[in-house]
Amino acid sequence: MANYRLSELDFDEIKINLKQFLTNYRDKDNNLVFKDYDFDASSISILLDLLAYNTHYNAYFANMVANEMFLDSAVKRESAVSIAKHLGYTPLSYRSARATVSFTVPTPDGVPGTLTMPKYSPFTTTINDTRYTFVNLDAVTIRPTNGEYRFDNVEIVEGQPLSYTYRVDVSGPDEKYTIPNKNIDTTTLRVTVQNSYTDLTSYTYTQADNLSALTPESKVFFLEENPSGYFEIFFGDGIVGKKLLPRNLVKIDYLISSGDVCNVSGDITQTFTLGATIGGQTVASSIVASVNSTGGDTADTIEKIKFKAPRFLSSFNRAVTANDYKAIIEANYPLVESVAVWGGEENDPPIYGKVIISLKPYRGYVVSDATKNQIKNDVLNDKKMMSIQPEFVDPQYLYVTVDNKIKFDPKNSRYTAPQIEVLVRAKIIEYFTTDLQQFNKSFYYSKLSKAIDSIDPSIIGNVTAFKIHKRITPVIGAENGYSGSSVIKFANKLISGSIISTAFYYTVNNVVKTAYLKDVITNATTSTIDLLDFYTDEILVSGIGSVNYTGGEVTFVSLNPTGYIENALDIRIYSKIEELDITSAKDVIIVIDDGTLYTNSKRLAGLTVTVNTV
Amino acid sequence: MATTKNVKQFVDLDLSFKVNPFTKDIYLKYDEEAVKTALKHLIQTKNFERFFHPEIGTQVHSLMFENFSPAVKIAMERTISEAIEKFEPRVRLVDLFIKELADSNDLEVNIIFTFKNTDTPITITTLLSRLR
Repeated sequence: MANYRLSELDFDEIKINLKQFLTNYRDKDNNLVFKDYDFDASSISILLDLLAYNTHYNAYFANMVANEMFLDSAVKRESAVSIAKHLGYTPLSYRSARATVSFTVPTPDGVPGTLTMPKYSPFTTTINDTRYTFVNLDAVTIRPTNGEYRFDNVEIVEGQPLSYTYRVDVSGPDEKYTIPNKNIDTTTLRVTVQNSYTDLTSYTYTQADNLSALTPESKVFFLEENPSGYFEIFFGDGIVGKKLLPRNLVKIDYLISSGDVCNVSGDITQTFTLGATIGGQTVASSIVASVNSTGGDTADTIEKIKFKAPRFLSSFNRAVTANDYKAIIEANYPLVESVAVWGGEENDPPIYGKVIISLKPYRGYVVSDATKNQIKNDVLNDKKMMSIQPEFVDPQYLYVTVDNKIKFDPKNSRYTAPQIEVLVRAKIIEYFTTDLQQFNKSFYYSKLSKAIDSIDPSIIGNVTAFKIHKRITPVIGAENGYSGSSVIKFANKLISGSIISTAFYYTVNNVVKTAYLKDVITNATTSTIDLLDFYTDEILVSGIGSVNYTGGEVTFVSLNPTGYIENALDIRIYSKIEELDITSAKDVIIVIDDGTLYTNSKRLAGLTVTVNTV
Repeated sequence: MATTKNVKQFVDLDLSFKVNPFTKDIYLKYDEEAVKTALKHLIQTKNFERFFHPEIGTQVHSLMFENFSPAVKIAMERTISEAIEKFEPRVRLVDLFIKELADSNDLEVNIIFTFKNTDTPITITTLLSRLR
């Protein structure tokens, strides 16, 4: 008996197997019953096509069914969502950007004792030539202070308010109410249940995220994503959560979000215009945001669901271990590229009873205080251990200035030298964005060098020189100390004599000088840092700081700059390091220097690529 | 004394699937008949009709909906002859011509071929009618 192969899934392979079967199909005289299967026009070839197609179709179907049953291999979003549901994870919806504003309303007629700004009052702003509307999610009531009607630190949320009302037909969790917008921000969802059309008594329902505390009277709703990609809500069954009654009216209010397009850098002045009157008064002037709009994001993709759902399960929605904190923050706050969490006892110096959290956002370098408070209060408060307090610290960034020199053989390439330069730049940036830019990810010279060499055979070799730098932002006109827990840590062994800073203004003997910092080699392990005149290199202040090369630490007991050079926002302290690799640490993120060359302040270009033709 | 058996060179199914009353099996087609049927299938198969093999077939169907001109006639003859040469390796095409039957709105396709191991010409005539 012939061996038949059953493992093929391809149409052509299956057809070959069928032909193989026919080669063994003979009559009593050992003649082939069919002979024409090798000829495409023959009748039996047409039949074989049909059989092979049918087999292929069934094999594909079985393969898809098996694939879609597991989170790792699922390719359809609805399958990943369904599996994530088993793991207790609801995919994140769009997230609206949020801003904070403060403004004063002209004194209303009659000088009322309180003044209320209704919910969904529209604040408009323009971002990249497009107008967006922000609203307050809840009514805000204030009392005048010294006759001034001032709304302080009002949080406004980007989005278009929408409202839907459903009538309950069959009570219980089987009846689900679909929210007909895919870009809803579910954190803005407000659900109220009215008794009936005639009985206007209504109750507010909140989203349930935990079954353990629910009673038959708990006014909660449950939220999940349906197979069509829409969110839907449903209510309790009278045992877990209050059961609705027929003819109840479910009213849902929410915002349609524009996602991440409304995130505005903190460096820009963002203004809003209030498009409604408050107490009959118009706020005429534009309102400058005290915190620019941030936090907007698009909904979870299937890749994000696959990544987050198992981690969410492993934390059991409780923040106990460091990984629990990471999983919960990643699951609830999508704009974080990297999260580092460690216990206070591991901190330097130790802070007992606290858990230290450091967040790196996708955009920019630090997360705003408003976001930190939101994570602390809304995300972690109900999940953390009672006696442990979360504390946020900003990441320690280690900037790498890259000076790359390429040896290029044009005879062996379809690229020109400028094209090679563009490719090398892109490769270096890709290495930093994909392999680094996370907490505790170290830089390896050989990996980058190999990646550059592999771009094109015409690159004969490359030599890359690095400097690392730290950025400090001392308060102008004040004594700034960088010692003890505030010491400037490079986390790598530094080369003596290589420390130099960008220039800044410094007042010496009542004369404002343009100055910079430089180390004076005293011995191999430690040294002092002097303040030098930018133009003459004359020492202005000797021993203004010190450096420990082995520990990679720079200390300034008192640094009192008079100002920054032109548009500079910081002072950068450059150093070369002894090793080719750059070591990271639990709270350190290595990023490529995004600076541009500015010779008037000794600022280096972040990335330089020189292509030398050989 | 040795006996000779008439061993069939080509054996194919008859897609009518009629049952032979004696053997109780479906009819088969042999040699010349098998090839003739294959040629008819080939002419009437549209490109992209066969699963995963869009190249098998002819453009006869689409050409039949053109105004019948000398150019269309040439195109039709070419697509049929190319298909036979590519997908029917058992035969050598001797001649192919299409005759217009204007009264009945039909086209008569005449194919003259030989088997590759013989010189005996075989003619097959098939009518192409536009049904809709």
